Amino acid sequence: MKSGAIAKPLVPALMLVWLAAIAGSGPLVAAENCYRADHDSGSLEFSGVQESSSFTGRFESFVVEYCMTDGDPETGTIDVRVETGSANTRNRDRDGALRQEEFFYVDSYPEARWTSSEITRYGDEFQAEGVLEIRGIDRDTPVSFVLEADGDDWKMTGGSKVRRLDFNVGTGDEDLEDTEFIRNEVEIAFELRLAR
Amino acid sequence: MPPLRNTPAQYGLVSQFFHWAIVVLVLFQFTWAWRIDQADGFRAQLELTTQHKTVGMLVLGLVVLRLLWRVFNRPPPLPGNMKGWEQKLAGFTHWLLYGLILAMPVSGWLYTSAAGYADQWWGPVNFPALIEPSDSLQDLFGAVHGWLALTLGLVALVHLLAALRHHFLLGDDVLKRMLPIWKRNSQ
Repeated sequence: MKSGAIAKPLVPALMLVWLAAIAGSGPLVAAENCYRADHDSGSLEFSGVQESSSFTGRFESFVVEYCMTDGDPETGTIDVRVETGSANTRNRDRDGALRQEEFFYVDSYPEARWTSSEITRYGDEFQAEGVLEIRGIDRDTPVSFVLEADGDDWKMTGGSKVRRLDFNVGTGDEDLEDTEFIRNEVEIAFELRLAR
Repeated sequence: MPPLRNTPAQYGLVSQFFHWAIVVLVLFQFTWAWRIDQADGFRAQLELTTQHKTVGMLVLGLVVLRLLWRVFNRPPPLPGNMKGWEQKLAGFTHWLLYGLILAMPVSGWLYTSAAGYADQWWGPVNFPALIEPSDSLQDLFGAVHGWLALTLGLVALVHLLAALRHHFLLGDDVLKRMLPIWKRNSQ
């Protein structure tokens, strides 16, 4: 007997099983939705202290993607990509310096990236563990945030703290490395509208 | 010691204080501008600049008080033997100096505001930004500040030479009446 003789009657049966699976996929197969925000739909700011005076800047170019399953933020993964050369502190000297080798070294490291690994809810807040990469250096960097449903979108606000010297930002000169001159801690704050 | 208020023959102590304090501070400002230009490294430049800016605000405060004091306490008249055009020129030069000493810190304040440094001052003082940061206004007010400084330097030199001329060539009291010397016979 040829093998096709058995297979032939099975084809319609297999198709029925497959169709049944598709029809019933709602409760059986999880649906992943990805939301996106960028510099046009949100802000990503950083603030630090230089010579005892605080300053704030923003990244003019970045993209955030938050993919989650069944609308559950804890199941999700977040990916943030930032153009380091888009840092704008409204100070031409400082912005020029930030692009140089001593700081973001934009020519060699045009992008900084943060990727979440685990997201946990604590009451109304979420804490996302993740890894931040700046100048090719990876550091565990947690981010806390609040999510607020807004129609089909999410409003996401939150922040984090990083130590610039962990990423060799502001090095190569003893003045720049002096945390009395430029504070080590830099605060990050964001406000995003995530849409599908 | 001279009296506090001006007399017909002499500047009083208050006017003298304003005059000489501003002389010292303006000399300090020119010295610091040179040091900023010569400084090696961003940190040194920033520290010197914050000092320069804060002293500039002190000059601004002093010149405003000085002008107010002048409104309520007229300066002694110039010697009667000066020609009309000389008196007019002296008056013009004095008001030009006041205007320049007033305009210098204001232009510097606009310059630092446009450059995005309005939050950096020396010591505990803090002044707000006058305008929003702007590259084009930074260039404009930087140039204005520089040209005003050059003009102030030249006019102050003319003022100094005129005072020395009065003292050494004309032999009158125009220079001495701005010195803290008590002139009993002229009261």
